Parts: sequence; structure tokens; C-alpha cells
Amino acid sequence: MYLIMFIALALVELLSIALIFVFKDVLHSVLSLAMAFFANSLLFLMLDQPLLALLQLFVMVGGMATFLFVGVASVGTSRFVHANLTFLLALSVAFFLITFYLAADTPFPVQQQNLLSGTAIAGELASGSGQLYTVVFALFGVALGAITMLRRISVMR
Amino acid sequence: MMPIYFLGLGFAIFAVGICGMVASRHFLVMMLSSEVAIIASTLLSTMFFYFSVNGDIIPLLLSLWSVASIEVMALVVVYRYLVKMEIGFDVTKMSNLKN
Repeated sequence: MYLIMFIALALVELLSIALIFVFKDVLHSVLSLAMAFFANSLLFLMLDQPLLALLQLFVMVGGMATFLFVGVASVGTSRFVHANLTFLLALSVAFFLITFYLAADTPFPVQQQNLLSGTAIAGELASGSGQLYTVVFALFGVALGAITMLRRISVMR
Repeated sequence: MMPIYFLGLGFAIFAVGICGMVASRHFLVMMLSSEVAIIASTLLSTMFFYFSVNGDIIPLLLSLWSVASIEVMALVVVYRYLVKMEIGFDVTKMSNLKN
């Protein structure tokens, strides 16, 4: 079950990242990156790191909002082919094979299960980490939704 | 067994991020690629610290996210400059700067 969830999240994240380069509208690319951030925070949850998952979403709300503002403002100056997809695919596969081959060949020490210090949610907040995550996710969604609506309003005018 | 999958995913995302910067000609998409590389580095650093006994990862992650924030600020500054100079987001036309 754990492996299936991991594969599903990994596919969602890789697909979202690939769509950044496929979309012609920058706004769609930014929303695709936001989806990748969300999948990444869920991966942190899978690693039993709820604090890192919360921070990931919290920190990226501001970044996404700025990217969205610039994306909305730059609609008129973005009408050209953004990326060479074939070149990107070939280069990415080559880069991945080289780096992962080097890493997979490295003899790692015995895995230390969850010994990361300072990443636990302390005290009574720990029992409510699910609610905290929901609140942060809602903030993330509201920030993205508000700016996307801004674009709709500006188009209607 | 699982960490090697996470490492593989992290390396795959990092590869797309780095190569995306090379293969793109849109300034904003290049910045998005660097954000992709940063989220890959957070995942990779967390995984590498799984193999460490003293895994105090918070300072490292905060520094990574600080880099991401600085990048966003740099984006705004450069965007203002590009608009003012009427260059647009096509980095292949950046050579207009010399004029």
C-alpha cells in the first residue's frame, strides 16, 4: 500500500513538473508547479515528517503568489515557444542516469529510522497536526484561487 | 528499501529542474525550473539525513527555503527591469541589453 501511494504521488509530481514546460500559458505553468509542491509535501508526510510538510506548503505560498502575479502580468509578453521539449527530455534522462548511477553505487551506512532532530511537532499540537495541515492547505488554495480569479477578472475587462 | 526510491525520485526531479533551466528560453519558466531544483534538494537532503545519526535538518532546510525566497525577490526585480527596458521574457533577446 505504501509503495502504491509513493508511486502515485511520484507520478503526480513528475507529471506536474513536466507540464510546467508543456503549457503555453505561464499561469498554467505556475499552477502546475503548485501541484508539484503539494505532492512534495504529501511525500514529506509519507516520510513521517509532518512539520516539514507544513513548512513546505507555508513557505511556498508566498513564492507561488509572486510567481502568479508575474505570470498574470506577463500574459502579453509570453507568446513564444517556452522550451525545447525534446532537448529537455534527452538532457534530463542523461543527467538523471549519471547522477543516480553515482548515488546508487555509493555504499550508504545502515539506515537510521526517523532520527531527524527538531522536526517533531511538540506537545499538544502533535495530536492536531492533521487539522494544522488542513488549515495550511486551505491557505495555499485560497492564495492560488484568489490570484487566478484576478486573472479572470482582468480578462473579462 | 524505500529511501532508495525517494532518492531516485529526488534525483529525477533535480535533473528536470537543472535541465529545464538549460532548455528554456522563457525567463519565468527558467525561474520555475530553479524552484523545481530547490524542492528536489529539500527532498534529497531529507533523505540523506535519514542515513545520518545527527540529523539536524531544520537549519539546512531553512537555508534552502531562504534561497528560494531570495530567488523570488530577484524575479520581481528583474521583471521590473525587463518591463522597463521593453525586452519581454524571451531570454534569447537579452542581447538587446547591449544597445
